[in-house]
Amino acid sequence: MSDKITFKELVEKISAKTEQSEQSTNDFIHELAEIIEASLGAGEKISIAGFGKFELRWMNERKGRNPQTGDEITIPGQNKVVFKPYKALRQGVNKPFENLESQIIGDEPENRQAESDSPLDSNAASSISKAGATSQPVSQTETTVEDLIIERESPVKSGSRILLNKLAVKAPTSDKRPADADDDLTSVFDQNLSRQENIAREVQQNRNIRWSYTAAAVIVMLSIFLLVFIWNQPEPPREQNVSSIAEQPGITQVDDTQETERTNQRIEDNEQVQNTGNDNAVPPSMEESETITNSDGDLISHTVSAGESLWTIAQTQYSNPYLWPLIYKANQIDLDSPNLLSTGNDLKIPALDNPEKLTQSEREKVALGYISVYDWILNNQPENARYFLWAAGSFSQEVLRDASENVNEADLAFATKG
Amino acid sequence: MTYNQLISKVSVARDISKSRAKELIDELFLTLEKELEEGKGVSIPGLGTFRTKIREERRVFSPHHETYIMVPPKRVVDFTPSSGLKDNLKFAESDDE
Repeated sequence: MSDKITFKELVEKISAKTEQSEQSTNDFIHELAEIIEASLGAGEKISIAGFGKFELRWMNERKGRNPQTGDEITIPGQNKVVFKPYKALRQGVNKPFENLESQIIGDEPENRQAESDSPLDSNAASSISKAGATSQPVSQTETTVEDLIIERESPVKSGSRILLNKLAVKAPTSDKRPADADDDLTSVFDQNLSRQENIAREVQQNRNIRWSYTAAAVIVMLSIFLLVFIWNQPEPPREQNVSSIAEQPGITQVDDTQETERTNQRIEDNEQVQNTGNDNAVPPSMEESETITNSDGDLISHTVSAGESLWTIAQTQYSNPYLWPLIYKANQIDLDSPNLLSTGNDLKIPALDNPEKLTQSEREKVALGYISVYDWILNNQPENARYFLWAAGSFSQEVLRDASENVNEADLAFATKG
Repeated sequence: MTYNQLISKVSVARDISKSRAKELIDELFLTLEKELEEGKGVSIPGLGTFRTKIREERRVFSPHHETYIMVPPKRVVDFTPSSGLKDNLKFAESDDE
């Protein structure tokens, strides 16, 4: 999976750093390899500080199969050169995954674990699990098994099985190691134990973290609840005000006059005018009953959760994502940008009786929403603004005509043409 | 063989000072380490190839919790000895046990 750098590149890098010719770097590395080989041949381990160690490990004679013929053959015992990275290197290499932690997944049937053993290890693993039948906890751990395989020194050729036996049995009571235990075995033990402790610690941390997540979630939910509560309290009276204003004939007249001088009309007012201007389409009695029977009916409160956009909210609320400007319009004061919602915010969502079949006034509201989106886009991404103007026109040509004085001519041409 | 012994052997073989030998060896393995940390592999003639590989996540039995835990995937160093080194040492007496 990994890319490789060539030996030449390596030599070049080192030469540059150590200020010597590439030839001499080359010679140095070859010399080093020879020294390591000679040392390994003499049965020594070569330890390189901060990197790892090389050692020989004796692999016992074992049965195998000729992959071409399928015949059973005996693979003679032989030495294998093994490199064991030290902790610093292990951690450095594992950087991409360092934040992952073990998870408790509960009891699993024994055979599933056996399946998950890689076929390469299964040979050795089975011999060890046989050996460790008396001390189950150790032999059951896959890590332990693997560690034993990996960390096994090249032992006395005949006695490796016996040593392993000893190892597996002694593991649980490692404190009472006999004094004659080999130093290497001791280190294997210690590493095993420390690794187990590590796993344990990881899992422990995991637990703590989960606790704090739960606590945080509860606090967040409480605060959201409070916010919603506070938000909802002043709401009903305000809405009733609006509707009552809308029904007072005097105010309607004022609005009508405003309607005639649209030039410097604020968009907020626009909506009101639209409300009142379309009283013919929506009978007042009906509007009244709506506000009274469900005061939430006109504006549904919606708390933004992660990953939501106005588009997706419109999709879920109206099952028509193209109606999203309606929501934007209703929350324009709170929103800096139609593209950016902050999680946990409460949005007011205008209710629609039948999103599939919009009334005239609703179409105009959507169109007004598109106009206000257009205004925003015009200031931020002028090249895309015309599409929103066109969308406004597709919902209501009248609104487009009304707004035509404040828009870019080229955009208007695009919107009316298409 | 300890690190210091390796350094002195190299310094004798290359006829350089010990501090210089240490510098060279350090640089070599530091470079190796850097490349490995970036997920790149390096072959060293006469010694072998260092690579990284991903060890898949797997479930293991944790004796401490007496239950199974899921061990996350890991990136590990993979060393393959060069065939020359492997064959030369195949039947060498390893008398350290």
